[in-house]
Amino acid sequence: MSVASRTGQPAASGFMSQGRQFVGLAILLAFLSVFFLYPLVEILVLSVIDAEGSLSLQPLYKLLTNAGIQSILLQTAVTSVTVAFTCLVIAYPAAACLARLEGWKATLGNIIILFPFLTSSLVRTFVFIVLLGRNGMLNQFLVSIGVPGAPWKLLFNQTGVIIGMTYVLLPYMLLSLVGSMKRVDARLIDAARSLGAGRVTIFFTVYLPLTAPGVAAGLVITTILAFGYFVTPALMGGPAQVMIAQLVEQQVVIMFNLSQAAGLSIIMLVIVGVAYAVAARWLGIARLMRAG
Amino acid sequence: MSERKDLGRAAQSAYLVVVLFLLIFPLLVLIPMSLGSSTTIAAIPQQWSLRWYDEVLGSPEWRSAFGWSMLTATAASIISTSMGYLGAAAMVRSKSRLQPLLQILILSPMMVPAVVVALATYLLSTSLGLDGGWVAISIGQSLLGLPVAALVIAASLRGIDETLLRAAVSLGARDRQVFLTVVLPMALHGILSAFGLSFLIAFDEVLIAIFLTTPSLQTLPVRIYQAVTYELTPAVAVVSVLLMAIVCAGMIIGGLYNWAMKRMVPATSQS
Amino acid sequence: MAFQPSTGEPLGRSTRSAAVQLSGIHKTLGGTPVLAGVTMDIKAGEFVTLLGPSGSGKTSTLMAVAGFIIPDSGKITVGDRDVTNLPPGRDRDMGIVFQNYALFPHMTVAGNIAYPLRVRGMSKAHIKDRVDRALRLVRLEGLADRKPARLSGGQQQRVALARALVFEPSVLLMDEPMGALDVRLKQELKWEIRQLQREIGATVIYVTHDQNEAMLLSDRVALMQDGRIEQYASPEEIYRRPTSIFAARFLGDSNLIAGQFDESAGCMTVAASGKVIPAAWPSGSPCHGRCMALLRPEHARISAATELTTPHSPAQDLTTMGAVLEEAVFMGQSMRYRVHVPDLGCALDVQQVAGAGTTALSPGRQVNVSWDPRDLHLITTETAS
Repeated sequence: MSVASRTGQPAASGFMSQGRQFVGLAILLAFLSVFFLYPLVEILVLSVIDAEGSLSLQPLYKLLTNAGIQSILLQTAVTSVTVAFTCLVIAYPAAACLARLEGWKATLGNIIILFPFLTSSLVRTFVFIVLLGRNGMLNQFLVSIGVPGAPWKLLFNQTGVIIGMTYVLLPYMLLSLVGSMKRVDARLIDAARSLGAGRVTIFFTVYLPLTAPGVAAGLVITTILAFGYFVTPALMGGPAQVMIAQLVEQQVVIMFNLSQAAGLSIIMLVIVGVAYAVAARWLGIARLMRAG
Repeated sequence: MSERKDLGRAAQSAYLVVVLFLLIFPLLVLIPMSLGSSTTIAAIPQQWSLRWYDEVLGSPEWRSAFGWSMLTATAASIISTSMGYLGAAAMVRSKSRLQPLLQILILSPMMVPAVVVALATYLLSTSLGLDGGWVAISIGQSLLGLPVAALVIAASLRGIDETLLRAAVSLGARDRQVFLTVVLPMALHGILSAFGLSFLIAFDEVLIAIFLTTPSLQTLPVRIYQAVTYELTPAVAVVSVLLMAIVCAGMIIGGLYNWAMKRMVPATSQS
Repeated sequence: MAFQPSTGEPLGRSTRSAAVQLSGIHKTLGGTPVLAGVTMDIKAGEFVTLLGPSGSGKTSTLMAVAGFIIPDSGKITVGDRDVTNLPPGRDRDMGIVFQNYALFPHMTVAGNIAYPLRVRGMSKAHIKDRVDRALRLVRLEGLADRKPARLSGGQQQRVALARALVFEPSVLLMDEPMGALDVRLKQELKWEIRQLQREIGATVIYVTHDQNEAMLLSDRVALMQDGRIEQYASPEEIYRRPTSIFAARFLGDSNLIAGQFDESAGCMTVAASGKVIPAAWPSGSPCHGRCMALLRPEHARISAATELTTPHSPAQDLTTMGAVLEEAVFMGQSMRYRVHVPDLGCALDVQQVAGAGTTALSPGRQVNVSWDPRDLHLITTETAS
């Protein structure tokens, strides 16, 4: 069919007639405005009202200059970036191999990735608490083979948080990488080989650049998810590993300090928003969404 | 050269097996963990028993938590899926210049940190006077599932050739008939996947539920969270195994459906 | 490969057919005019082809008739009903065969054909009866329970045809229904479609960019370019007496010689050489002046220059010129020559039945090229440029 008729706006060409489509969109926008955008505005307002009830940036400024909050933000940032890169290092070679698989092997591989992906993150965190404990399976194993220094302390410290979050977020990285690696045309590798490139050269000049978008998208997704993560650091971290999401939770549940929670939320939103904006510029929104 | 290459491939395959093993092994360990008889959790219990299954299944607390989660997650995923469909239809067919903005708006609940969505829902429920109600929890959870549902449904709607819709119209189908006889059957897989995924997202959601929990309304994740923090008994392993069984069943049903569809409509189309 | 006359109440002759009229259809999409005043009338039961290169507006015209494009201005009537602004679908009473058939992949062949009846709420028994007859009509009786993905291209096309016919629309629209088929299958299906249309009697509007398809199938061809109808006539008329250079070039092969027509002398001065050759203006055309002379390759003939005495009967007042043979290609049923004619200042293509004598001609030879002046068709370029 010619382009002309495609772009023509017939009375009924979509999944709903135009009138109905408009109504559908209006319902969706109303839903999002009332239940999502409005409370976000509420958060914003709460965060910029000071103790006397007047509008001011003072509360936000106070939060940002608070040494304790600064160190928590730093801890959160360091942890999330560390987790993202750990995921990348573990996942990249595995994903490259997985992308090559076909038939039942590929299916099995996908199932094994999807199963933890779909299983409750609480369950996945819980099992690591048991496995990594002082008398847990891992330490028993380390002791039995006579590793010096075993049993190690793997829980309620930074190591525990990183191990736990890496396990929880690894499927995201794997899916993002496998997606981009499947799109690599195998003939390009053959072409490079026929042109005389060695294996290492091919990897750095062809494969890596072609899979770079997947790597970038995976890093962005895991970093941002880790940045706002609650369950794993809350259950596996110690007092020194408190992350920003936990702080918000404490303000709401324990302190009942909603304006503090709102202020922290706004700080998180700005950080994540900037990260997304940079990533979207760098990668294009479409790719980011596909990876997510 | 080729020997080295083979060796490299073999090492890579072995590495993949190790990674996949590490992904799945901890979850498999939950099964023996759940079958112990003592109050402490051990990966390989000294005495096997179904004691904790009895405890969990007989416990009113766990049962009510499960019930609340089923309720909130079902309601949430119905909202996510229907709103997601509206969003997907708009994303796929709208030719408006506001399209990118709309897309960002629909996907934003996924981009905003979950704790912020939870705080937003908390504020909403207080300002709407829904204090601690399951309705507020459902709405909050549906927000988290909506972007995923919209993406999944949009992908399946994109797979429907617009000419098919024109064909249906030209053959005399009214709007509603086009939807029921062409769009719905062809997008059904996407719609069901969207429902399943948003159900799991809602079922797994902790923060909204923690913010809105009351002694009489505790969802399963809240109950697990508390059990892990304060009790750490094999009961949690039992609940985990039951949850995994649900995921497993979902994946099997989805897989069978896919397999059946592939058999009915082989990919070897002529055009 | 004829369609067997169907038994029982035929899907055939009882079908209503309606005249279709388009007048002054304009449509602009995204700033570019797609249809720029399409006017044509189609008689009830007529087979009309919209022929043209891609982007000429033929599919858009079809979609305007179907209602998927609403014209900015102009009027479309079917029978005595104005359908210009009617929504597409049931109220329009038209069957459409889409370019890639648009068969519903999740329904069987029978399900696809039953669809238009099902959405009209027809009873199950009635539907079954009609579907069976439609299946017989397109000779797909055995394939009722197949899914479209398991059919060959030709079979898919027939399902699409049966589906578009089963609700007995008064007008059948077909959008390049053979675009995706290979050449041999096309050849076969062309005859089938022609016969089926004769049998059904429905008005057919058919879109194609393939001139052979258009020639074989149509009662009349509407030749389109740039959203306009260049010429609307029978295939023979367009071939023999094209009214524009575009028409002359698009349908069949052509030699075009630019020149100046002198009405009183009944001859034309060739622009490139100044040579005067006899030519006659087609009757009824009052124009004169700058023109193009169209000479179809099969209307010219060549002979070796040594045969100075013309081999043709002297009664035929042939125009003969000396030429140099540049290329000679064996085409099977005929020989194809390219000759350079100094008196015309250009090269001519000549097509001639491959007789025993002509094969001896080889490139570089002096030859004579001749034609009957009555085969020289003049097209005015006075307004065109």
